[in-house]
Amino acid sequence: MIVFKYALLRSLRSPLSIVGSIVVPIAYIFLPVNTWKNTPVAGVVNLVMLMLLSAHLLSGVILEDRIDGSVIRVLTSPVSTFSYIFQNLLSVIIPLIIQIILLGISGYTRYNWSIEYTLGLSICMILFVIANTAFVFCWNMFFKSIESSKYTFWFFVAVITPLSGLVVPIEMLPSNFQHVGAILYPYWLMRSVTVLTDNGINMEFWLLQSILILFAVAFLFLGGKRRSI
Amino acid sequence: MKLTPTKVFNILNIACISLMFVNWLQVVDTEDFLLLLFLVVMCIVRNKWNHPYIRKTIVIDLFVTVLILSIGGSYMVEFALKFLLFQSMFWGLYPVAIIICYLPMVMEFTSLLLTSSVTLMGLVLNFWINERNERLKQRDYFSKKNYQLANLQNELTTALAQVEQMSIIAERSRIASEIHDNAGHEIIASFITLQTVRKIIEKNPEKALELFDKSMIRLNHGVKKMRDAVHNMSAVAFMGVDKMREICQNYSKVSVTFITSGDMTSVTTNMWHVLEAILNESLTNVMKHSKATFVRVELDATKHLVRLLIENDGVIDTTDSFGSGLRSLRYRVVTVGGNLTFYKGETFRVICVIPIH
Repeated sequence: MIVFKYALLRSLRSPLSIVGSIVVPIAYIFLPVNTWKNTPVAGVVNLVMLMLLSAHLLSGVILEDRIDGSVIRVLTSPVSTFSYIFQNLLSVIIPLIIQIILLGISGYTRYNWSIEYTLGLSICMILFVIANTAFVFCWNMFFKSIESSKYTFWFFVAVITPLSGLVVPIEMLPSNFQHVGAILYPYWLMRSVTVLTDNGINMEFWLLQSILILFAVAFLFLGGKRRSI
Repeated sequence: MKLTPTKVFNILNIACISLMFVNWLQVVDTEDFLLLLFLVVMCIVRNKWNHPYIRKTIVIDLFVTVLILSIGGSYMVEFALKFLLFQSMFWGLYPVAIIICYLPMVMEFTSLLLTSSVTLMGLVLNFWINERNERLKQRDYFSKKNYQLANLQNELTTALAQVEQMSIIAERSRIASEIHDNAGHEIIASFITLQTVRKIIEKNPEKALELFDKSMIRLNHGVKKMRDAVHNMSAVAFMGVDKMREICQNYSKVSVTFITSGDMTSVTTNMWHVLEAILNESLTNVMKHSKATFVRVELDATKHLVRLLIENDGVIDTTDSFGSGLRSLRYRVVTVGGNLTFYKGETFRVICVIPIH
C-alpha cells in the first residue's frame, strides 16, 4: 500500500487539508446544538458541506500526477492502473470515514443518539463519502489544471448545496425546484437522513442507500475511462 | 464532428434519460429513480466496454424494470421499457425486443406510435452500424492485402538485386577461369620465351629467331583462344539499348525515331526490363488505339537517373488516361523507385523516370 501511504501524506501536506479534514470536524463536535424536528442534525449538514470540499482537496493528488507526468512513471512500475486509482481513492476516503466514526461516537456519547440512528447515519454518511470521492475523481479527470478544477468545483458546490437541501430543507424550496437536485447525490443523502429521522432504518432507507451506491458506481465508470491517465 | 451511428445512439440515449427524469419529476418516486439510475449505470458500462457479450446485459435491465413495474412503478417505467426496446433494436438483440413487445403496456394503442417509432429508430441505427462495420472490415482487409503485396514486392526486388549481384560474381569468376585456363598459359609461355630470346639474341641469333617464331605461334594460339572466349561470352540476344533499338526497328506500323544520350552503363538489368516493357506496351497501344503518323522514343541516362520518353501524335479522346497495361507497369516502375506519367496535349507523351542509386 505504498501508493496509499504517499498519497495520504501528500494530500495532508497542505495546511488547508489539515484544517478541513481534522481541525474543523473535531470542532463541530463542540458546536452548540441546533435541532430540527427535535433531532440534532444541523451539524451533520455542515459536516456534509465540509466533506464535499475536503474530498476535493484530498483528491488533488491524482490530478497533480496526471499534469506533471508522474502517473506515466508510476504506471511503468509494477503497479496496475486499478491499484493506483484504488489506493488514491482510499487515501481520500479513510480520513473522511474517520470523521464519520468520530461523529458517530460523539453523537452516541455526547448527544444520546440511539444505536439505530447512529448506525443509520454512519451508513448513509459513509456511502455519501464514497459517492463524493467517486464524483470528485470523475470531476478531476475532465480538467487539465488544478486551479480550474478547484474553482469550478467550488462553484458547482455553491449551486448544488441549496438544490440538494443542504442549506435549507427541500420543502422550503419552490415546488418547481424541489426535486431538480435529485440528479445530484447530496439530495439523496439528505433524503436518507430525513427518512432515518422520521422512520428509522426501513426498506425506503435501503433503497436510498442503493441509489447512493449506484451514483458511486456511475462516477467511477465515468472517471475511470482511460484518457490521459 | 463526424456523425457515426454510435454517437447518434448516445445522443438519443441521453435524450431518453432526460425525458424519463423530467417524467420522474412529476411523481418523485424512489423506486423509479432507482430504476432510472440503474439504467444510466448500465448504459455507462455498455459504453465503456463495447463488447458483444456486455450488450446482452440488457436482459438484466429488463428484469429490473419488470421487477420495479411489478412492485408498483409509474408511467416512467413504461418509458423505460420503450428505452430498452430502442436499445435492443440497436444492438440487434431481437429476442429481447420481442419479449418487450409482448409486455401488455408496450402494445397498448395509446403508446403504439411511440413503440413503433423507437423500434424503427433502433432498426435504422442497427442497419447503419452494420453497414459501417462491414465497410471498415473490407477496408482493413484490402489494407492488409496491399501491405502484404507491398512486402512481397520489396522481397522480390531485394531478391532480384541479390541474384543480379550473384550473377555478376559468378560471371566474373567464369571469365577469370576461362582466360586463365585457355589464353593465360599461352601468353605466359610466350612471355618467358621472348625473355629468353632477348638474352640469347646476340650470342645465338639463329636460336633466338627459332624461339621467336615459336613464341609468335604460341601468342597466335593465345590470341585465338582469347577471341574464342570473348565470342562465347558475348550475348547472342540483344540487351539494353540494343534491345530497345531492335524493338523500335521492328515496329512496322509507323516509323519510330529512337534517340539515346548519356552513359547507359549504370542502368541495371532490372531497369532495362521495366523500360523495355514500357516501350513494348506503349508501341502496342499506339498500334491498337491511335492513328499516329510518327513515334519518337528518347532514352536519356545521367549519373543519377534514366528517362524514357515515348511521344506520338495520335491523341485519342478518352477520359481513361492509362490502360490496364500501363497501369500495371506504373506499379512496376514504382517498385524500382521510379515514376510513370503521361501528358496529353498536341501529342501524347509517356514519360518514365527511374533514379539510379
